[in-house]
Amino acid sequence: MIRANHLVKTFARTEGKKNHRVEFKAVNDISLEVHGGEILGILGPNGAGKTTLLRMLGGLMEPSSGSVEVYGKDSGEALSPLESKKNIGYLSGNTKLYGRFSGRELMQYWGEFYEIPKSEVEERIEEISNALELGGFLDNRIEKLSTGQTQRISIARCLLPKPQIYIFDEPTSGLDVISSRLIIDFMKKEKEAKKAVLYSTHYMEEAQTLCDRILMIHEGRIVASGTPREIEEATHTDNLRDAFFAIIEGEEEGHESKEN
Amino acid sequence: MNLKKIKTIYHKEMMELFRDKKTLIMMIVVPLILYPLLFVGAMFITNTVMQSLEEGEYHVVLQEGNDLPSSYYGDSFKQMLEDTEDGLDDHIILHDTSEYSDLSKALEEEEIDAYIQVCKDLEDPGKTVFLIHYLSSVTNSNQVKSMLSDKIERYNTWLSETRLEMVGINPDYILHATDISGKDHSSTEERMGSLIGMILPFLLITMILLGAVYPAIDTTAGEKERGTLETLLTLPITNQELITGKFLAVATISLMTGILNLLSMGGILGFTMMTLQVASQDTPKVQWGSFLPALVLGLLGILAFTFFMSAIAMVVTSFAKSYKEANNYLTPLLLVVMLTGYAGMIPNIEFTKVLAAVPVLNVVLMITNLFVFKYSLSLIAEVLVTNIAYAALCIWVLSKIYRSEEMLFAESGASFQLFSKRSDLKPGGVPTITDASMVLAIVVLLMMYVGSLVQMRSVLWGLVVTQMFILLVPLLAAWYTKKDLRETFSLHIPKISQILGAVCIEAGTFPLVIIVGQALSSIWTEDLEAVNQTFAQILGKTPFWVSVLVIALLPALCEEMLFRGYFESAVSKKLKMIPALICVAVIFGLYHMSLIKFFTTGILGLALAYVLYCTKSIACTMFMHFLNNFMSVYMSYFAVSSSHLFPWAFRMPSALGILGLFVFSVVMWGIGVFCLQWSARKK
Repeated sequence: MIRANHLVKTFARTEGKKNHRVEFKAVNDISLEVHGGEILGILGPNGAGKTTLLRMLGGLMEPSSGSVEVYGKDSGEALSPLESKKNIGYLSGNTKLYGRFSGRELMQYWGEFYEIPKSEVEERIEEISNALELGGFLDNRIEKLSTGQTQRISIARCLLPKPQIYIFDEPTSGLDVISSRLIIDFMKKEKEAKKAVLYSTHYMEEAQTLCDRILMIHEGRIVASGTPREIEEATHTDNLRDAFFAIIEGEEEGHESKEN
Repeated sequence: MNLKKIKTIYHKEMMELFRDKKTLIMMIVVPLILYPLLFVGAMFITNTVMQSLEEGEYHVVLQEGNDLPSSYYGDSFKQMLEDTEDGLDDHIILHDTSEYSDLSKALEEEEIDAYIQVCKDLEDPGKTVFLIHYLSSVTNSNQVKSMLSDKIERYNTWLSETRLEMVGINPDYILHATDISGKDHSSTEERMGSLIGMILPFLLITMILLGAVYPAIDTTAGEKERGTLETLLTLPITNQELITGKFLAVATISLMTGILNLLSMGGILGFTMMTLQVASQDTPKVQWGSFLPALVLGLLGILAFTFFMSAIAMVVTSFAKSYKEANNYLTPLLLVVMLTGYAGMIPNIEFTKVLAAVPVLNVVLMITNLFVFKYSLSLIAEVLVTNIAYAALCIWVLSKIYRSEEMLFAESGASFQLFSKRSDLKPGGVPTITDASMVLAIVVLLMMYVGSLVQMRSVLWGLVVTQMFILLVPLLAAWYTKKDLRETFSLHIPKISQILGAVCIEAGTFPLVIIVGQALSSIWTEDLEAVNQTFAQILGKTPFWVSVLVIALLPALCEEMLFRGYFESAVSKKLKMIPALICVAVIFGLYHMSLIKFFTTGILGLALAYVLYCTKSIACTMFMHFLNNFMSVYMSYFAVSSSHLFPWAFRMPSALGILGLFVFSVVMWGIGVFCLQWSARKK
């Protein structure tokens, strides 16, 4: 479905007293593959490079080197960048909605961007509205809605083009229990519908129950990958949180021994 | 590019803009309601003022001396004063001297509007002298003074005519030997057009820019602030489609604002003309139809200008992360555009090929010329093409910005630290680019106003004061924003090898600057004269050592602190080496405010910026700068001896000579760069 080959993203930032421009790798040689019917969890602390990685996968950012390949339903050749975007539903804490539009108007515009015929857009809006219970507020301006209602419209926006791949960047951070639940249920449902789901979070417990496979990243690099169970076994722990700390500590010791 | 997607973006942007109150107010309420209201208000006030003047009664005292010449006809004069003239309502009421004990006091307390003192001329006893006492600061008094002057003039004519008649001469023969009148060959339309052409372009460009400001902010910085930009980037659309759609929406709103304003102003003008025509039959009829070509061509110019303004406003606002920041960025743009537009209102500017390429000014001049029926199709075409080219350039820059992740996803930081509360600032580091630009702007303003004011009294002191600003403003700014002074101003002690390298580079730069200066001054002779004039003013009466202090030492210390210290540290934090150095050089060149000096000081600026970049020691560049300026001063004072030493600095050398100097420059630069690199590696 989606494959990343040796992705690298280099940023320039100024560092230290001398204010020299230093290049640092926010994402440093990450490869991954996600198939339909699978949820891949990307775990890591703040600043680990999760957002940068997902932005590259979603086509919002161009990698400094490496490539992203997206395959359609009939997985023949890799799709062009624009076609890839059509197959990806991207949702993050930063993808806010246009407050001056109503949910319906927003989806109508989105339908045009994804080149879906008008009559079909209306049908899909009906369908999604029933599934997510948007009926009561679909025609209100989004700026007037509550956080939970806005979140539902966000999901509706992702669903509209019927993407094969979902990329969710910390979708539950800052949300209350009910709104988080909505998103988690949604991901489970889409997985059952044989969609590929990539999902980043720093809530380890959430990831443990939800993900088929986990990718732990730290300072731009993959430090562990596998099913939650595999990772726990490798680190001799019984939950992902402890496993994460064990891995990070091991990493840092490794660094020190190298430097010495 | 997919036109359908551009259309969708355009539609989405327009819909969003129209759903915002601010756009509606700017676009519709201001032109359609505010202007007519303002106009009606202004009319009302003018009418009231006029009426109070027209109905005026003026109180005047005639103070006649005791010993008056026999030729003074007091009764006739009084009669003339009290006569009302030519259907005017205002008249003079004469009061008796006895009513006031102190006339001067009565005038000051505005009990009377003026008084006339009549007496005999001491040298010519036959002549009567009228002295009008009045207050120029009081409207009524001022008004009556000119009335009284007219009346006395009339009395004078009457007296002359009477005298001539008494000796049997026809007064017309002596007094009215000639007659003056003028015949205006300008048609009513031309007069009308020149008036419209004076005001209209300036108002229009201001309106178009103001119309572009809000949508430009909303579609760029506004999207970032509301967090919808990332949502937009998830869509299967290309950058070009996104930018084109947004740009077209901004241009549409801007154009609509401009046209609505134009219609509103035109409506008021038409209304006034109509009322005037109804009120008096004398008002000439204007053939409005003759303005049709001007309107059509003007509209084309405005369209091209709108594209340019919308694009440039979007470029500027794209750098901002919030409304507030975008507004800050736009203020300098507004000032520049309005000042340039204002320059177009200076009478008698000839519309030339060169001016037709100057942004903003070209549109103003084009419209001004169109309305006096001067159609130069080649110039109009140039204006249209250049404006569209500028717009295209801006859009290209925009597409670069929208590819740059730093611009799109960077976290918002306080870039205008100068406007922050000092207690909120963290100490350390170097200035931000926005602060550095602000500091430059403040220095330029101080230079232009305070500096040139002092310079009018004394050129030398003007230079000293200007240099003090150049030194103090960045120091104060760095102190206020709690910057690391040592880091900001590169206050490091240089090594011997670094000084050596700096001197070599200066030795290689100096001949280059001289040759480029000579080559350019043969192209821009006018500019050369202006430069020489200011220089001659200083050098004329000043001793050598004072000139060395003021022209060589002071700028070396102060200008380095601003340009290489404060500004370069800010720029090189944000940009890579080459763009940073070029930026410093360009700003340093611009600061000298002369076409020739832009290039010569630009080259010097580049050399200085490079040396500072390598050595991180401002002492090096100060020394280089001093050497450079000292050489110029020395050559001016000791022209004869130095023309033997450096003949190439006084007369353009032969091609071979230039080649020789060039080789010398390259060799010196080579040695200099080697020294600097060597000391860097050793470290």
